[in-house]
Amino acid sequence: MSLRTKLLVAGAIGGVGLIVLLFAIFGGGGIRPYLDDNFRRQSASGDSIVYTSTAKPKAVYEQIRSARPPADTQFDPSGYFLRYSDDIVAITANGTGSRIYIDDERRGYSHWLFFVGGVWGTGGSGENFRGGGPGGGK
Amino acid sequence: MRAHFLAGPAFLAVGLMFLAPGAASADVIFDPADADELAAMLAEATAEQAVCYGWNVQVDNVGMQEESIGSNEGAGVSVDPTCAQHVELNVYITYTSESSESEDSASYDVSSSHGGPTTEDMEALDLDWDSLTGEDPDIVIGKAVTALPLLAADTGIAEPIAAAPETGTAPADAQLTDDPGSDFWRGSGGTVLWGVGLMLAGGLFAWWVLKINRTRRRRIPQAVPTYVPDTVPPEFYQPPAPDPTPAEQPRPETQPTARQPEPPAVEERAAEPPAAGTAATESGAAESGSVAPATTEPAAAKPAAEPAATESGPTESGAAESGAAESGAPESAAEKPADTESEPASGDSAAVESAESATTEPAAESPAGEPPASVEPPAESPSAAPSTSDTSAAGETAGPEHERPAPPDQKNKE
Repeated sequence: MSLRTKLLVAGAIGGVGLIVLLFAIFGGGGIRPYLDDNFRRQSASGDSIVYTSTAKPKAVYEQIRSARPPADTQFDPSGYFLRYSDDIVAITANGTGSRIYIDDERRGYSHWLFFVGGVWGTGGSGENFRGGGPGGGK
Repeated sequence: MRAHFLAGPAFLAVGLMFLAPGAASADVIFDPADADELAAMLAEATAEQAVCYGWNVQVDNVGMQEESIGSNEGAGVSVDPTCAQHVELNVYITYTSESSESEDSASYDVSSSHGGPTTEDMEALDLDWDSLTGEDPDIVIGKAVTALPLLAADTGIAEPIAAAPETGTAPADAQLTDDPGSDFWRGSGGTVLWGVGLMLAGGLFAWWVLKINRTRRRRIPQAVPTYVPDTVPPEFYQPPAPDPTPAEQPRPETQPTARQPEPPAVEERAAEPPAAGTAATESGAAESGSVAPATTEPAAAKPAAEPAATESGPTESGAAESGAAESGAPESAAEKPADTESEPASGDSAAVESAESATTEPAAESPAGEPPASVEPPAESPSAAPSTSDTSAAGETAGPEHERPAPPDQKNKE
């Protein structure tokens, strides 16, 4: 392999790395642009937006989680709750489909306090299972 | 009196031990309060969906069997088997002793009535099941149990339960406390690392390639000539003359045959430096294009040697080389078998020597005006054209000043 070929290979590797890096920086996006692009907006009030989907809540939850990994998730028999750095997303059933709520973290915690209170913060009725008890075994 | 007084509390303590088995078993995984909360949650789901839910955790704590059971009917109570639809989470945890080589292990599965959720449905939620053998297995078990009604609705055996946000004012003490971290690094951190890693790899590879290339250039030794004479006679190198005309080429080839029968002619050649010199230049030119060794053969002997020249080129060339290459060039030695015709007899050795001196004289004369040029490619002329150039060069290096003795092989033949 001549010197020129080796340098071309090195340049190609670096070029691929640069493309991957640019894709990571500019190709991604937050949770709000993703919801805007993939679900139908039903209503909006400031930072609180409601979307709908024809898919079931479990399918919507898996789709959002795989595309935009949340910091934490919380379950309730009535819905899925995802925690992001600045937002809280709630997915609940809507007939045969789903309804997706997104709020900023402060308002979202207030809206869903009954379900996530005591888990992601203080306050709430304390009736939500938090865990962290005695642990198992040893 | 005192015995009766003490018997009452003792009986009471024993009775309490037997009356609270559920709370004791739930303590293995959950706090009693957490277990009750979980059971209450399942009871609400059962009331809306008409599906029974429960959990059953079996723990092997270094040989000691423990369990945690609960359902919509309460903590410590297993799922009602008479329910038409039921879903139960089963967890198995094995703890080993610290001195054991075996690691702690855990597994889980979901059992349900026909058409209900399966273990694969639970796996799709992507919970952190590795924490079953960690410090807080109750967290992941609690999340999984809470998700059972969601899975039942997804599979179709139960109606989904809708949730609505609270519209009222949140209590003042309701504050988020967890730090969720950065969404960018969580979502794209791996990709960024890959991109940076590839760029570094490409840069390192290029740097390594350039470094190796520089090292190789430094290690390449300077070309050392195989032979560096102390003094370089002007005849050492004779630039190749232009290709002679075909009529001129046969001249040198006749010389070997001319040598044999006419030794005196060789002496005459010595007396004819100009013609020999031109023959030398022509021979130099001829060398570039042919094997003809006639470079050292003066023109005077050419007519007599013409018939012999037509015999074979290689033999004639070999003869000239053997006669001229007193230095014992391997090529001339290689050609000697073919030179039987042209090799002079013993009496011809002197003629050969004089012929060589005669050829070297003209060669000395022709490039007389250009000694530096003849010196320029000293390394090339002896080695570049081994067969023919060596003969001419060897003959030329002898020069008029130096009469090389006949090579040992020729002397022996003589």
